[in-house]
Amino acid sequence: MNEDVLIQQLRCEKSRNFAFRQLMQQEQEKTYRLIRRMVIDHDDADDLTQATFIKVFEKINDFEGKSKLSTWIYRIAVNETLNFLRHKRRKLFVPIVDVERQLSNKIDTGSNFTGDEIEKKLQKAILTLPEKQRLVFNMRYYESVKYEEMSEILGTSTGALKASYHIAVEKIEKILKSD
Amino acid sequence: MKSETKMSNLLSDIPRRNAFNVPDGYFEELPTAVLSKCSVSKVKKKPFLASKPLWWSVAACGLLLLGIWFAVPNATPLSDSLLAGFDFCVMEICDDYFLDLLGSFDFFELFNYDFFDYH
Repeated sequence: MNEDVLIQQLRCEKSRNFAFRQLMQQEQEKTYRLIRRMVIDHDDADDLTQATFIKVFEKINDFEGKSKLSTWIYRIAVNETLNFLRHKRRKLFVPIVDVERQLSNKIDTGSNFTGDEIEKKLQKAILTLPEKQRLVFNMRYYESVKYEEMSEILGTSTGALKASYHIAVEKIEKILKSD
Repeated sequence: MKSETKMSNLLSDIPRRNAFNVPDGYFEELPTAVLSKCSVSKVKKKPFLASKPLWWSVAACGLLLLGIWFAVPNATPLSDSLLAGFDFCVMEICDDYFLDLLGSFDFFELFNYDFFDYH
């Protein structure tokens, strides 16, 4: 369905629920995967995905159409995820490394990770990256998000994003080689 | 794209698949779960006293009154000035009344009458 038509239907009281279901079918998996790679745990990812789409539902009238609808949804998802991680850090009164160590342990102990040993190593290496770099790497490596779109989502220049991705790749390869 | 082409075999050999498991039927049920929460939040109404604009306007009015109070420190209190004006009016009316009364009364006649009667 054309995006403009979908937005119009989302803004109309009568067609809103139908259009929203269509929008979710288009975007939910991609959004969930991005969040899941950041928070690792399914329950947390579920809460954040739901919170993201509830915001989309409530704020659709504020959407100005300056970017694609999917970019806007991604931006909400990124904000929700970063806020969640920051809140978790504040709540636990623990340094950054400990939260990432907790997430790393979830990869080892959680039954929801089906990857082999090398995939586990890769996920753990990704968790050593700073949050924004981790987001950039996940978006580019797994979802093949264009730098221009990433720039709109994260509010960073494409040059900085390319550099960030390059540094992230180097760090991860270094960790993988050292093991 | 340079970084991707330069990517070593180590990273490019790892399959880019989704290794995180999702419960069966999760994505089929998710839209319904989200919509049910959306309709709850839409129906839920805030009580009148819990509305933020109300408290902001009360606070603004309070500040405005405080500002007026401190900005005009030498002003006579409203009630006093009103009362003072009232007193003045009453006195003026009384004076006028008595002057009229006195003017209409013939004191000399009374005096003469008393005088003659007394003697």
